[in-house]
Amino acid sequence: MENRAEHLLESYFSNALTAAEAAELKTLAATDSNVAAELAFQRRVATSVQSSSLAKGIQNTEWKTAAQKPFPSTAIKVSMLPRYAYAAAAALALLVVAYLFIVPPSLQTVVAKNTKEYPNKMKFKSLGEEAQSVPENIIKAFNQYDKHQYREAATALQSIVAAHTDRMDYRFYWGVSLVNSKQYAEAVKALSPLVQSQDERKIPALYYLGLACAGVGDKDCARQNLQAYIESPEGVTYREQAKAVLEAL
Amino acid sequence: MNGKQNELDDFRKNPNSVSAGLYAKCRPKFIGWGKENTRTSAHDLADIFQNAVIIMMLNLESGRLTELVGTLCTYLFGIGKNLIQAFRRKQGRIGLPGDEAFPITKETDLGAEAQIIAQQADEQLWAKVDTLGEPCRSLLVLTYREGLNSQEIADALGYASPEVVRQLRKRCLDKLRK
Repeated sequence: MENRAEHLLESYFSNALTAAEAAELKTLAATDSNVAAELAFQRRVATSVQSSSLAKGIQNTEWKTAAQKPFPSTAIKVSMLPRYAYAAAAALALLVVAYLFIVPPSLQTVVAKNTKEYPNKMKFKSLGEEAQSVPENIIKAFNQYDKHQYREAATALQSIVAAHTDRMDYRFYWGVSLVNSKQYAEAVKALSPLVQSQDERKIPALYYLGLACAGVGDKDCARQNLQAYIESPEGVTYREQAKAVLEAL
Repeated sequence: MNGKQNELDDFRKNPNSVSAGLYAKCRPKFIGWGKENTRTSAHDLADIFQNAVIIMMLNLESGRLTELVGTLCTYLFGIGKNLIQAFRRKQGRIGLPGDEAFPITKETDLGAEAQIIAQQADEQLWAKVDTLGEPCRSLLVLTYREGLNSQEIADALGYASPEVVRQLRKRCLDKLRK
């Protein structure tokens, strides 16, 4: 294959194509079967690695653990021990008082408190063409999502998912909208296929499905999914929230 | 032996402690710098920092990283900046027909049976990628998932030039074609 095609392919996968280069690559792929085949093959490779974890390449077990989460230092200076002992006793006393006098929050309250937003990462850009290539109802649904109108977004995305059953990205945002609008039972149904797939959104889906299961009171399901999220090297962003819900279960 | 070399030795002896220190001290600096200079969200910067730490460990394990020019935090900043560049390009990418950004139409829809066959082939390819081993695995993840170009991968993984990266990637892809 000529160097020009290789250069364009590299730019494509590093998201650096200009509009003119995109048009050039499109033409090359349409007229040269070798280029088309190479593009298709590398796209398949790209799809295959979406679920791969960089951390899996670390051979040293201890290093792999260190890469997953920061372990606090356990070294405590001897001279600090009495202070820590007093602090621990005071904390314990406070906990006892809190347990006796303060009603613990319900599980649903904990879930709602630990439900965090997921940023909209959908890209709807056409290739320099003037007409929108994405249906208006989809754009509208994601606009509602962006404005945190989750109940409305969930309603809109439900029909979109029904019409595009293979689109895991639509399903993911539908599930997140349902969790954010506290429609937990529906969220469980929406997100379950995602965690069984190899979609790139599988890891955050574990977190949201865990929340949804906790919301409906299915503690086994919640534990399983939240634990899987925490144990994943990519499960970083919502780790504290996932742990908080796990503790409440 | 100087202080910078000690940081690598410290890591080898006590990776959890050094890693905890990096997350406690270096990550906030990286996130603060990133938010101010690149307008990337803290959420995404945290993910990027995590990847930078992993890449550092991969480089150390493979022997590509043997000494530091600055501190370990500076080293992570260097990797992180390349990852941020690639991430921001991903945000503004121009795609091609067939991309995820383009919804499936009647013309591009493969049909259910063909989709199942394609999915099975992809799963086999995914299994092959997983068994490739290092450095192919990391190279392909950085190329196709993180979207780094060859220069950025050379900088991040410590290769001499982008051409070395291209040649290595070609060999890795050829292994997958078999």
